[in-house]
Amino acid sequence: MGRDPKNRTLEICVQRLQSGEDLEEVLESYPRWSATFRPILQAVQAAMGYAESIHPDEDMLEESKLIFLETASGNIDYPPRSSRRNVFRVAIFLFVMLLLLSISFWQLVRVSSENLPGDFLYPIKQLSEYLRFNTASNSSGRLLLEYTYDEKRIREVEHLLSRGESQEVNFSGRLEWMKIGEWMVGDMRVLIPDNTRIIGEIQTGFFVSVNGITHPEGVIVANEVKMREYSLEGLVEEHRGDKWVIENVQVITSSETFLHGEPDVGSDVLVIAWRTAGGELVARLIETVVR
Amino acid sequence: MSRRNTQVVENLNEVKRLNREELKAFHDHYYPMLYRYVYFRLGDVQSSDEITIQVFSKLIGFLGGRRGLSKNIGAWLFDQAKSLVEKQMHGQSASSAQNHVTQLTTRYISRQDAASIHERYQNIRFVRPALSVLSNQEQHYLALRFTQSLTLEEIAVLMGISIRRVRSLQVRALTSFGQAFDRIA
Repeated sequence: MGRDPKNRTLEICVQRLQSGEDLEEVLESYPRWSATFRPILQAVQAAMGYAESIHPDEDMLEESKLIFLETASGNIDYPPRSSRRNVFRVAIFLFVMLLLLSISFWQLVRVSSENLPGDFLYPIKQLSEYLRFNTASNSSGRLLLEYTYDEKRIREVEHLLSRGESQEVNFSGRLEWMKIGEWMVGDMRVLIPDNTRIIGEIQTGFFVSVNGITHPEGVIVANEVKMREYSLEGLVEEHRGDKWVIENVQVITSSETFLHGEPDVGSDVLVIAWRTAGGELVARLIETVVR
Repeated sequence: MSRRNTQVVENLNEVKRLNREELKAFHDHYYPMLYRYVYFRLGDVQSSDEITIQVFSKLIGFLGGRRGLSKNIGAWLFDQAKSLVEKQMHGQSASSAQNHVTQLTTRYISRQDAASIHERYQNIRFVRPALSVLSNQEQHYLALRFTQSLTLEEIAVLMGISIRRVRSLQVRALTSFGQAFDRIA
């Protein structure tokens, strides 16, 4: 009908009739087309009357519904079955994806275990160590892991030095001796220029943490040095004199140890300790923890 | 399922996801629409009921397959109804107009006044013969237009044609119908 005004007018007339307007009123609005439209609109009015007279019987509707539902019950998969199947498929898919991801991740971890700082997969190695540390079941297990990782860092730095590579490293080792501008940490020479940040009081005979750059000449130039601190949490199992056993780990106290909250056997405590060259843990702080 | 929810079902695939209660509501929503369409074209209670039931049965059969399930549900239902109606019309006697008048008068005589019955009688007496001279497509359009209270756009969706073609069809159908009605009346 589109652009033809006559056809547009006819459509409007039909709509007005369908909205309940009187035929004569509608025709009066369009005298130009009145004669042409009259038989059409009379037919439309009759057709509308015919359509309005059609009402399905309620009994027939109910009978049809019964037949429909009966037929459907044998042919349509209802949602519960379909949903269970979909959930099962999704579960299988997720399981397979998880398995593949796990395999891929552990393959990467295996490959990355020999990586050194600066290598592409080194962050994966750090991530796997972090995950392992945080999933350790107890405090003594975490402490042993820290010892292991300290040893690994030392070996990595030794590798880098042997290759003559320059790379930023973080490691912890025994501080054997200190001279002006040069320290010996874990059998490695660490240069301490004036701009090195030294945090806290550093003592020989203990483990220290070093952040620095390996130098091709076989030394490490330190950016920052601090005492290596180990933390331990758990129940005090024994306490005799300066010897404490916490979570099966022995810790000794010194005159510099700060005891906070009157810790004793049975107390739940947090310990911050330094590690001596001989492997003893010397507590700096033993603090009761209220959970 | 409310009427609103029934209307959310837009394609055949979604019908497969309906549970039993939702299927009941689906049926109750579409049965009167299909019945009115079929009756408008055939003018016979028995045939209209049978064809409407057949449309629902065909729907169940179709849902068992895998193809064409993205089709609009209304378009598919009325397309099936149209095919069944046209098949039926080939073997239908010319006396169906009188048949409808008899059925209508019997059913409503107790509720309607004489003037109303007479008016309806006149409508039915001339409408169906006038419709019978139109093409199947024109009858289909008019049946959708007058029994479903649909806009041109909605009819275009149900018929699966453009709005432009619906407008063109409307002009032809109304003009032919008006002329035939005028002659008969």
